[in-house]
Amino acid sequence: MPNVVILVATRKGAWFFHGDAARQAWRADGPHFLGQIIHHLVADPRQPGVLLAATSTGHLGPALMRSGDFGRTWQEAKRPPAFDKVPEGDQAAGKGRVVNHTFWLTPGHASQPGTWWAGTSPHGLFRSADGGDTWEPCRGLNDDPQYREWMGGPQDGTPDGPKLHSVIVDPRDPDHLYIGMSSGGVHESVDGGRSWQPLIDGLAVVEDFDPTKVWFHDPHCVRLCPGNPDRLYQQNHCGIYRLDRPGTRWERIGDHMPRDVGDIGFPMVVHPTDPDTAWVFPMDGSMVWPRVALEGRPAAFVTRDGGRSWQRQDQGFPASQAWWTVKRQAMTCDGRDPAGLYLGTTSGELWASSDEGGRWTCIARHLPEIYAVETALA
Amino acid sequence: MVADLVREIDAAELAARLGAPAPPVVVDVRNPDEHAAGALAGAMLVPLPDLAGRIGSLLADRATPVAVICAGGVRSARAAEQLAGLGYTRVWSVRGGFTAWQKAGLPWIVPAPADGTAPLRADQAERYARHLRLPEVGPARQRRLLDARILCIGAGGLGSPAALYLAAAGVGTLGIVDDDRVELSNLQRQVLHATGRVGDAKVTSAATTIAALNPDVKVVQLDQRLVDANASAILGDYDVIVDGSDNVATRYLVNDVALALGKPVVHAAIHRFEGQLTVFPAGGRPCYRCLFPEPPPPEASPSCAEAGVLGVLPGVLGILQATEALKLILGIGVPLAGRLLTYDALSLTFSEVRLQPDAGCPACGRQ
Amino acid sequence: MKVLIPSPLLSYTRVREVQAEGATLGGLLADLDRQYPGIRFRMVDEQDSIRPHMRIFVNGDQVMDLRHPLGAGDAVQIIQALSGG
Repeated sequence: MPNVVILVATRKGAWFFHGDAARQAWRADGPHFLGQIIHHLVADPRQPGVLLAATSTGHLGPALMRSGDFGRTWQEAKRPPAFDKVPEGDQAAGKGRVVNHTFWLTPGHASQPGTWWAGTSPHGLFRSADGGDTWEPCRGLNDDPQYREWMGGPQDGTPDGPKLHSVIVDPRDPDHLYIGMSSGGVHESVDGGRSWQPLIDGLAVVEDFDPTKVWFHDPHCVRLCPGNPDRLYQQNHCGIYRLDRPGTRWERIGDHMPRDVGDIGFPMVVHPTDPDTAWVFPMDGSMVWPRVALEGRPAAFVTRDGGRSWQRQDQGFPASQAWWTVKRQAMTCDGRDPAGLYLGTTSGELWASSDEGGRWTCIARHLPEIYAVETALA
Repeated sequence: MVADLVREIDAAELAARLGAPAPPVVVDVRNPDEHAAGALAGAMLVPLPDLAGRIGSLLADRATPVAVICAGGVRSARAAEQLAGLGYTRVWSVRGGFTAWQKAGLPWIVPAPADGTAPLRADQAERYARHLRLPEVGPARQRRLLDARILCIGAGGLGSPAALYLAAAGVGTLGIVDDDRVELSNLQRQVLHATGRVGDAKVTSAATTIAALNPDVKVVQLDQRLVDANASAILGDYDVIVDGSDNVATRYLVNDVALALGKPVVHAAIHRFEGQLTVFPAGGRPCYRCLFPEPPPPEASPSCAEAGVLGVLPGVLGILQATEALKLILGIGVPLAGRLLTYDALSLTFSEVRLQPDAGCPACGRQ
Repeated sequence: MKVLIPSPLLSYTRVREVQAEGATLGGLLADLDRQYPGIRFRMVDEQDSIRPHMRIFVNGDQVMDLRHPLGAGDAVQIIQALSGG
């Protein structure tokens, strides 16, 4: 049986951590792309050995890198995600949009090998049908006048640029998609991305703002349960939610979190088989949003009953003076039983648990700030 | 040849005659720049080309004993022949000229500049002798250097050589702003510091080195980070800003504040084996934002710590910065304004591109 | 014609000085991209604007318009913003 590999994307490059069969010993392999910003590094579950990496280096435009041999060699995408060029003389509407970086990568449906989805900053959705070599804008979203209004400009939203994230493909239907947009809401398409509808009922927005306005909705991370594809969990700027389809109203399950912890955070992780089990990693979202572990005491929280109750999981984490937190792409699980959990911190530490969060072990420290953590089998 | 009428004397004999009754009048026939760099006390400056026309009115009595001196003895011999031809009867030419006089350790002075500024001390005249000999510098402009105030932003790779050479050149006040401590890994290129001062504040270490090099220089130690809140007050105290900072944010801050205060900035930046140099003149046009309107994200510009740098690279660029700063103070030459010099150490090539003031520049356009 | 490449793009060209042809700057960049696939998008965005921290000079003068005509004897220099000190 292949072993678990943790794929770590950081602000200064990428690392692989190869685990043994027991998921106890981890061998570091890296850095890859040293000095480059790696926004997301994802393995293709349909094709062992295939990896995609979204990179950028600031001075230069972004790049999308592909490997077919698990990172030994990389090829640059021939046509990376990029918006359509505004026609000459049509500058009155303002300058055309420019992809600053690809933020999110999602492998396409199992029945469509070679298909990938990408979310960018500023907001844009892109699709590749050739394993990530060439990408087409999803014009039904990117160019829809209503969505253009909801997306806003590159200056809006999150501090380092608005992001289209949480691109989800329904495992039962390649045309059924979900996306999340920072300051732009959660949306659904049932026709492969040609048209979209908001899915924001029941979600709170920041105090005093109008919840009927889509752009005040700020999902941080949305996940679909492999064990029940009709169930979605969401960590939002304003709380933790669950949605059971075909319903359309999100239920704030974060209300059941301990009052002194609250339900603010970035990542959301769902169990590989049990739809009642999910994890969050709360952070301090008070006043100016310090974005650190509450009181300097990091902890994950797990629900085993679909969000009706939550338990603190902090065994192994520092008991005090640990002021890191976890970004939205930096916490994940593997498909094993029991599920292994992995998270990367803003301070460059990689933590793992082989018993669904019961006990945490630090398996690497002193890495650059970790942006994303994913798993693969190799 | 020196005619029989004219006798050559050496420096020692001239000194003896000057100390005896009825001393000769010393006529210095060098040009004014040479004279200004150092001369015998009381010498009368009459440059050789003017001698025949002017000497009659200056020395009416042709029996007056005259000692003619130049730099090395050649011009004075010709001058002495002219004087003999004009009827002067007691004329000596000083063998080896002022150079021999100085070599003999005999006393000399730096004449007070014509503009009335304070004269240089004798030790200063000696320290800056090679400057004083340059017509483009001379004592008046050396005095200007001593009165000048230059701010070095950063005492690192670029700031080290820049500050060293500015101090050696006699820039009277050097402000150094840097909140770092000296680390062992700095010493591969930051020649202001020393192994024994690892852990010390960089500004203190810099002041120690500069004091040992040139006690004329007053070092203003600014052990702080240049930030919005202090930038105007700090930059406002200086004539020229030498930007050797190690991060993008400071560079944009320096640009914007210097622009507002009307201070010129000598800009250099380095990366691995590459360097860039330019001068943003007082008032900008072009300024840094004409070239790159907005700061890149921090990751865009890996620091030397991350990307590495050939140790001597900042030496080359820092010394060019010092050169430009001195030119600005002296008001000589053509500054590197509106031009960006790029240097590639691996191929040893310098090249230059022209910078255009951007009419739409967010900082200096359409003021 | 001669094109000088800045260090962040050396991963494409390996050498600092390369040869490329084109009747315009856009054509030259297209030729560079043929020789070194991917290099153009790192310098020019999808709206054909030169990226904010890259600058292109032709015979020492900054050029922002990809339609700028080029001749065989022209020298092109690509520069990035540096900040180290």
